[in-house]
Amino acid sequence: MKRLLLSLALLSSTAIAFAHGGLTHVMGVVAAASATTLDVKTTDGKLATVALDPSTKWMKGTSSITEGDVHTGDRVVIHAKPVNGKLIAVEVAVGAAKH
Amino acid sequence: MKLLFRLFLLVAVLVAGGAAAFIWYLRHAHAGVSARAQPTTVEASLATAMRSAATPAAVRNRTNPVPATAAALHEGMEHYADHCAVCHGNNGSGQTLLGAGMYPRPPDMRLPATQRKSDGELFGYIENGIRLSGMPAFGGAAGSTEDESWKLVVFLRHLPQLSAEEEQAMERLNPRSPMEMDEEKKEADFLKGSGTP
Repeated sequence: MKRLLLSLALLSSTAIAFAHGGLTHVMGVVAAASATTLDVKTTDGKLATVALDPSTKWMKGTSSITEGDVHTGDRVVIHAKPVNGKLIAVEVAVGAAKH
Repeated sequence: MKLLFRLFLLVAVLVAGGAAAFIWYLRHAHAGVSARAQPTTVEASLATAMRSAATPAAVRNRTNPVPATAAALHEGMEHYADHCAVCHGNNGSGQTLLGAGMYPRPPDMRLPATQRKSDGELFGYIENGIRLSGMPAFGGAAGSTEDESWKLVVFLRHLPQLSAEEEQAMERLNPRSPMEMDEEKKEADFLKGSGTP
């Protein structure tokens, strides 16, 4: 039971967390953006690379945006699907605030 | 009398042989009773045909008493997002974490195989469930009213035309655990600029 509580506490404190729907959530700032990947410096200081997919949804608030609207320094929350050890972005939400 | 006995014996041998073959098939060709396998085409076709044949005509021939108004569609959508989407997905594709592990998998309800079914059949599946599948009965003791089930049928008919905006609106209606709600709040706050990036 103690181990379970410890695991839950660690999970809630990390910037890469597992959430419902089998998706992993990545929260941080865009360190680099290319046509195929986003590098994100997570809130706990680690670097996470998330692959992009033609079906990736891009959102800012409740509006749809495009990949070109995301820049280095933007705050992002990415919901990604783990596939063969890689993370593939299902949805990228971009914050109004800059780093 | 002797002929009758022989006939009975033949039927008994055939039934026992069939049962043995079925058990052999389950054990050796179908990974036991694991739900990870996909039903074979023959099994899926047989099950679908039997399900349709077993649906009473009185149920199949019922027509939806709820007119397909915007209000009925919206209520059906809300109910679906809360009760059905966890297995069927908001868009009806069946591509969900729970759906991926079911035997049989939930169907893609946008496709003709589901859309061709009568309103009464869809209503019957919602109200009474489907035996030996993951589909529970929502009517009767489960508490859903017939009116709610008919509104779900209205929404099921809309699935092939579901827009991205509607799907997004449904995500806000999906059930969430307290931990998920807390995580969503943290993410929303982060995107608004609070906390250290």
